[in-house]
Amino acid sequence: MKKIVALLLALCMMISLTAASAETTKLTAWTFIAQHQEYYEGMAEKWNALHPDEQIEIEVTTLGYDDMHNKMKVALQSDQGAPDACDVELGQFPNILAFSDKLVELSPYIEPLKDDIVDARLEIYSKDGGYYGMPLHVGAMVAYYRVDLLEKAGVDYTTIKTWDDWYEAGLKVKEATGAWMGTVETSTQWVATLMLGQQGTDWQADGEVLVNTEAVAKVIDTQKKWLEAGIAETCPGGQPDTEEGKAYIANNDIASVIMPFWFMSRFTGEIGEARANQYVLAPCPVFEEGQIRSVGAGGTGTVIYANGANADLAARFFTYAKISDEGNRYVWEVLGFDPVNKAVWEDEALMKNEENAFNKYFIGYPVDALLPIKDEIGAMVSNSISPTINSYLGSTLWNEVYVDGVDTAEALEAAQDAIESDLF
Amino acid sequence: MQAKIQVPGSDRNKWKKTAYLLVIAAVLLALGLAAMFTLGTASTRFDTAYDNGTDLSGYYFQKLEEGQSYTLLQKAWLGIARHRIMPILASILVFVVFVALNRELLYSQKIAPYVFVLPFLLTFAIFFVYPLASTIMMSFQEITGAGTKWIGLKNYQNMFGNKNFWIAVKNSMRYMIITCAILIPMPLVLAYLLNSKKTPEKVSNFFKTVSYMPVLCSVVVAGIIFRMMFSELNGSMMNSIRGVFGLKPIAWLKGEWTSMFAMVLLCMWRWTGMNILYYMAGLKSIPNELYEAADIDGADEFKKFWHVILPLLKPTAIYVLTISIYAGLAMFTESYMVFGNNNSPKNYGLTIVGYLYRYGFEKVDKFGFASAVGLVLLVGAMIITIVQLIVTGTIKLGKKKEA
Repeated sequence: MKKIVALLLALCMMISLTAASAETTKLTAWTFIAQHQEYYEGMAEKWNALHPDEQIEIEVTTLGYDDMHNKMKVALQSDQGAPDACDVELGQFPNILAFSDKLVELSPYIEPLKDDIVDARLEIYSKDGGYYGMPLHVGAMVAYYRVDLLEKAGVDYTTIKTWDDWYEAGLKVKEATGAWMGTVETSTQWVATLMLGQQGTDWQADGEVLVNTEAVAKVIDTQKKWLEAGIAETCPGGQPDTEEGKAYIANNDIASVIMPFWFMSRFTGEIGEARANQYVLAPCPVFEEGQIRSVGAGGTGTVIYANGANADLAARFFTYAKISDEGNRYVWEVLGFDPVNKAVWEDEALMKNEENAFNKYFIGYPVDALLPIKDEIGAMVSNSISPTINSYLGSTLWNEVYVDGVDTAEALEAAQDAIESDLF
Repeated sequence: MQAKIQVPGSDRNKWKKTAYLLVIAAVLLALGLAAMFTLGTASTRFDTAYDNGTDLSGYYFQKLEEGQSYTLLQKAWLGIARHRIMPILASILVFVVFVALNRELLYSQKIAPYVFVLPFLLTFAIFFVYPLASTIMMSFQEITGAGTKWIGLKNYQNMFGNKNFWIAVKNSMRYMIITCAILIPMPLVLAYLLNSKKTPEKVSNFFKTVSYMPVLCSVVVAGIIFRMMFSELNGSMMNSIRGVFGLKPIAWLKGEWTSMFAMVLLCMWRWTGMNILYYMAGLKSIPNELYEAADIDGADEFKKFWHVILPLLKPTAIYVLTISIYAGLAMFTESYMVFGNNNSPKNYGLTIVGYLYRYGFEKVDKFGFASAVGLVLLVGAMIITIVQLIVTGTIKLGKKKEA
């Protein structure tokens, strides 16, 4: 009997030990971009200095892109194990937004700061008029030109206004240097989306798939022409923002890269010193002058898990970290992204600081490519059918038209059918 | 006639005196499980609300009016629900006490065997029967964040009408057939050579070690290395090899057969060593007398291989074939790592499990559909395996009574 009593006591002790919990204001966050981790940790230090009575400790976990989004979906579906905050990529946002009842509606937090922020970047993370994602940057599409190559070919990059100019410049570059003018993407659609935005359309409208359209055919035929003229080749790795794509830019002569503004951080990061002081940023070409020169591409919206123990604190911290004035300055200094707060762009002391790593790396000041297009940045729509469309375009359509040389009209018809049949 | 084990002081009905403990244990268990299952996915939300002292209405009871409070009974239930693990632990504890008081039960010839198989039965039921039953059920449902709905055969109709599903089936079947065609005979020959007395021991030991090493390597690491080897950049390993023969670099992972080649090569590299090990074990079990008898009959090396080794290795080969068929059909990680994600150019790397993953985890609200895909894979793999076992004679039809 004594033994049993002893056993009982031991078990009781164990149970009471596990039941006890410690009080800490630790915030957990998931991201799929390693640079964001450093950024949040820096912002947490600033927050702690400002809020001595509300000290936080931020624990950021960096996961792979697919892995993180899939984990987050499962966590929200089962309401188990979600972090306080999670960086969600624009293309995946509709999938996460399906669980909006489990996310904090951020409008009350954003409202006081709303006037300075690019509206389009808030809209893309909204549902039924409520904001659910905290934007970090605009992601404006810009052109990166290799000044030395273009000079050898006798081309002044500031005179490239239209895609036709770009094409002519490509022919000259090819003749003078043998270098490629650019690349054609096969696994994603940064450039294609830019070209669609310039024509005033999108991949869809009101839940209807708009892939088999004249605008898309024009996008494909323009790029097919580059391939046929031999001024561009399909990008290794499918697009510049991959291991192979970055190695390709670092080791080959590519006269222009059309990518979002945030691609700067890949230059200073993975591409590295080999290309320092060679590229300059400029507005993208258009089909006809007067069209918008940029669209916002990519981006991450931070969502706050509503059923977390510290949802309110997390929402306040991420508002501070991502869209406040201090946050936006830090975004530029550390990440080199185009801040969502446009007032910050005009701050010359900050944006043209000679010590800034990005100002040092590129020729001229990157912000000079941004200011002229300030009011020409179109918004990409991302809704529940976007992931299906993106998946088909990136895996099949571009490979068919650019690699296999399938006829444009034929491929588009098949694409429209396949995407519609995938939407069940 | 079996001898009854006599335990000192045994009394067959003594346990009935302490049976009330069993009742207590059952009630506690029921309470804990009831709280656990009624909360379901809302458990985290409920716990947070309880701990923060916020509104609990909506979980179990009506919304409280101003000034109202829960009755004692309701409060007790909410407490139990919050600490639902406690009644379960307590019930286990009471059960342990009951068994401790009735130790002679453990010696009972009727009960003891069940106690010993219980751990297996439990794991089998919890981790196999329950998920399988649940999958079958889910495959007829639409499961969304808002709730579940029975939709009959719609998941199956959508699946069989979807082009990508058939691409996935084609890729999986193709991969399975190619890997089986290579990974059954090739390791057999290698194992025979390594086992042969004519191979110096040092050489065979070296090759055994080298061929087994990839098995110990994670597919994830290997997949990434293969992705780099098969990169379309001029400097990648495979393109450098082409360069030696004066061929132009190609985009390996963008072609239908070249990407399949990459995946099959990865599979070969990884599993040859494992299959050699199986065959070696089979070879070692062939008695020496048979070789001697063959020698006396004047058989040469080839005849010995053909008439002695092959027939006696048949059971091993069938085993290897069975697991290879399943492994081939269920391939996912290799493709996921070689292509860097689940989207490959024109879906050349899409497998059935990749298709399941796409719907179960990459898209939302498609768990039901993914369950249907999983079931189809299970049934398909089972049919192929059973046909294979019948063809190879492992399952003998119409001879069931034979002992």
